[in-house]
Amino acid sequence: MRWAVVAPEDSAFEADLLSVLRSVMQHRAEPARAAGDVDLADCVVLAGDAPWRESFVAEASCEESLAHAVAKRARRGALTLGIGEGFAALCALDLLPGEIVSNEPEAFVCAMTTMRVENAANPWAQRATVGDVWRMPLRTAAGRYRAEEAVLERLDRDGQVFLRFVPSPGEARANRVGSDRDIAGILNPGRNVLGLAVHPEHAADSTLLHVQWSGAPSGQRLFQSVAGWVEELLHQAPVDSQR
Amino acid sequence: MRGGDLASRSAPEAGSASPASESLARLERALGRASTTAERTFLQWLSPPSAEVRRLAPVRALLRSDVDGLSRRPGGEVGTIRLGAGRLAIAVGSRLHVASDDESEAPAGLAQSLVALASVGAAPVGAQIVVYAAGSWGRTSAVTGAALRAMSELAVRAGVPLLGSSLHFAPEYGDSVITDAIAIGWLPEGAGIEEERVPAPGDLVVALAGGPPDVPRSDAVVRLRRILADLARDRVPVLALPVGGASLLGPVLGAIGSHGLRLDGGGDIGSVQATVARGLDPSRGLVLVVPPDAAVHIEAAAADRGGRSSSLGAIEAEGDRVRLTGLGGRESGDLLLPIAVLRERPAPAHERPEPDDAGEGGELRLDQLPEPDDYERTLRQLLRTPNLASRRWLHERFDSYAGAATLLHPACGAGASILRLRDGGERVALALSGNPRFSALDPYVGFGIAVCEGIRSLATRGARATALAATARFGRGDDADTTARAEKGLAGLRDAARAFGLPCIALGTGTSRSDAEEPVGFPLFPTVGCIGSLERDPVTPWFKHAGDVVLLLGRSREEIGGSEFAAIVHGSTEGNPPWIDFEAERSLQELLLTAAERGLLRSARSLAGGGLALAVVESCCALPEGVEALGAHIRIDEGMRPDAWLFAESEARVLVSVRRESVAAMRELADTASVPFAAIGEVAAGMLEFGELISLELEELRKTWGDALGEALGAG
Repeated sequence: MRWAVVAPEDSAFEADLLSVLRSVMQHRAEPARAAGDVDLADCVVLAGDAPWRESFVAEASCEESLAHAVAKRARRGALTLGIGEGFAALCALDLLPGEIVSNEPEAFVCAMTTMRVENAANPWAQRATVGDVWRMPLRTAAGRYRAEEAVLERLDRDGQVFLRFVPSPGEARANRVGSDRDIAGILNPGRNVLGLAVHPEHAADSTLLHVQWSGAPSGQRLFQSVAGWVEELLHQAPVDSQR
Repeated sequence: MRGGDLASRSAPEAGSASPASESLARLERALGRASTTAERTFLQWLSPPSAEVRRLAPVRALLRSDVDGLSRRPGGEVGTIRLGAGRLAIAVGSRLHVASDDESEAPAGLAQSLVALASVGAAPVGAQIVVYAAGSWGRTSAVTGAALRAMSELAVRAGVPLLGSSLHFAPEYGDSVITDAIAIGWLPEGAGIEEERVPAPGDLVVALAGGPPDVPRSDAVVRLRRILADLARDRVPVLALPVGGASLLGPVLGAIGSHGLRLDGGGDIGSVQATVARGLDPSRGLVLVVPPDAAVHIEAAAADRGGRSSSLGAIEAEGDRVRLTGLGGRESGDLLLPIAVLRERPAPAHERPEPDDAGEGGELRLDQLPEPDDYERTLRQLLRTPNLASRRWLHERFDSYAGAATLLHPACGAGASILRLRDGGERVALALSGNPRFSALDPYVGFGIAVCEGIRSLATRGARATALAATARFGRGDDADTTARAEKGLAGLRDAARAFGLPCIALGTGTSRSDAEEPVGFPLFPTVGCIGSLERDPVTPWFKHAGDVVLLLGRSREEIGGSEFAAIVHGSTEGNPPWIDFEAERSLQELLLTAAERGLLRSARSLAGGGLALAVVESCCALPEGVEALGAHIRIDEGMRPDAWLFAESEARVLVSVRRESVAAMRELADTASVPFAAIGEVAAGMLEFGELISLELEELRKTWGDALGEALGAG
């Protein structure tokens, strides 16, 4: 399994993803700094901060840019995962509908949160079934998913809602960012693009206490699902059909 | 108590002069004549009152560099220490701004600490911050929230997890908001800008900024980090010096040894000063000392990453003087200032002051205060005060999961953040402590307590303290009284560091606002960061099983001076702070580490603000999500007045819970270590009870304590 990590250079976002994918998941993962760096990846993952997202998206109009390459591959069906501001970037590049805006009402949220898997018929939930409860942390000032009513209707109808915030027992409110319809993650119609408001990379290492307390490491399940999907495809079809 | 009271309570030491007049006298002695206005202005600029604190004897002792494995940048705001397969870098930063200022000023201290980390080439691992403000007592409530938000945003944008935020509220802060930050970073073996470059005559002194002043500090910090990484990769020999808050050029003077420094001016001193200050915002830039042929690389690297570099001057062979060139008008010709003037200061020996009968803070006797007639109401009252209320509200809004490596998140009420470093796998613990009220009552004791509390917080997690970092803020900084109190406080810090054998890796000092018309009387205080390491999973702080025995380790005294109980319930901030006994703290630390190693501890929590009662409430209510809350039945000690038993803040005490079958082993360990030991109750489901005096439902307790901070900050 080969990952291309698109994130601010030398940032904690990049380091965290590389560390988890390599050390915990035992996958191959390399930082992607230029358009050519995503060519051989089985999956591209995007994460970063707001300034990074702004400049990343702004460069997409340039055909030589990394953003352009990522978008082009995603439109051709390549697996693409956006986390946090990476999710916002996928929306801004029209790879996913709607937008990510500032949290409402809480300014910045940093907490483990509970979600329900709404759709398991996709590459991202091979190790899950509909109704499974996952726990991953929110860590954002802008993680609120917002879309027009018609878009929200379509997402629900077409099974594009991947994760939805649900309160855990005793918890008054799980959707602390204020997302429309409690959405925590959505898929594109082809199911190859996923945007997540939560951080799977911070819920993957079961040696960490906050992950242990959360039960099964949900982030690990997501990364395993992708790897399982890729492996299955590799056994079924030539690699190029994926990309 | 108002600020003025604080300032007037401690009289200046007999015969002591103001630091500013001492500096001037030294200058005139060195010149052999009366100084000119220009020379005095130059002196004041290079050695402002805040910089004088840096020359006090305890500071020099704290900044000793002959510690194995320790490397520190001149100026002292950042240092590194060997740890496993690399080096741990620790940096401090502090900022004081006025409530009416733009909130974007609040993160300057945090940015400063990140710039300091960048100066040694360390990748930031995380930072802890503390905000000191009048809070709910004044109009700074909204400002406090805005300051926290601004710092949180800077941290997120700069990719640095906040490992824990804290607040301290007191009316004495008036409209000042002080933000202290301690940041830690990691340097894998062979990485970073670790090699110290010895400046040589001819070297250029260059100001390097992460962009123009209108660039957000987060972006400036990131750019600076990248510029320095580029220079390190290209093996450009640089000495990077964070400039800190005390004196913009102080670190340069500290680095040049016996050489001289030339500053290239133009116009008058004021314009040179303004030019230097513009190029040297400590939260956006630093100083580089580089060989002449490196200047072109610096310029290119800065331009490539959106930064800016500007030459300030050069190192001169002719030593021990600062030369300001290019002055025009009445000040034409070079202005020379002997560096010795800036370095020398009589170093008075300062041993621990013996307090008189009433102590510095005056006497506050328990028998003169009425006993609460309703202990449940008193406990609720204390739990709702912002200084004792649950910090969860804060952690969940402003702190970050520390990348992939948070072993114990501060939202669990751990008192310390536990991290696993990415490359080395080492486990590092960081705890911040500091009690401004104790420091106001007795600076020596207050600063010492800050160290003890930090070390104890680490020990309750099973971590052994290995180093300290501190930032200390004093009064106005230009009067003898402040200097005398600063010296006492720093002596307390020094003696505590010595008692525990801990090097001080980084030390920042600052003063109050010099622009204030009236003296800003907030108490002098430190923020101490204790850094430790641990080799196993941390001991967690919450009760685990009904039936476990609750033990109190350490001696309880009727010490209520400076306590939250005295302040909130009796409206008194007078009295003596609790007694500190370094030997008792050491024994307690060793006992905890041994017990943790043997797996005897189900939970452990240090006693500090709020005393025993708050420690028990926290053990019941500060939990990670998904963990069941448990209550406790705690007895009242018959040998003490109940309010002192519950709320006094005696030091060197820890609350632990253990399996019933472990009690004998714990008693034996305590006896061996000569640590007072008492089984004071047991963990139970549903209720928290203190004898017959208090009986509260856990749910109510959790709500009262958990919601108070958000309500105090107007967030509901």
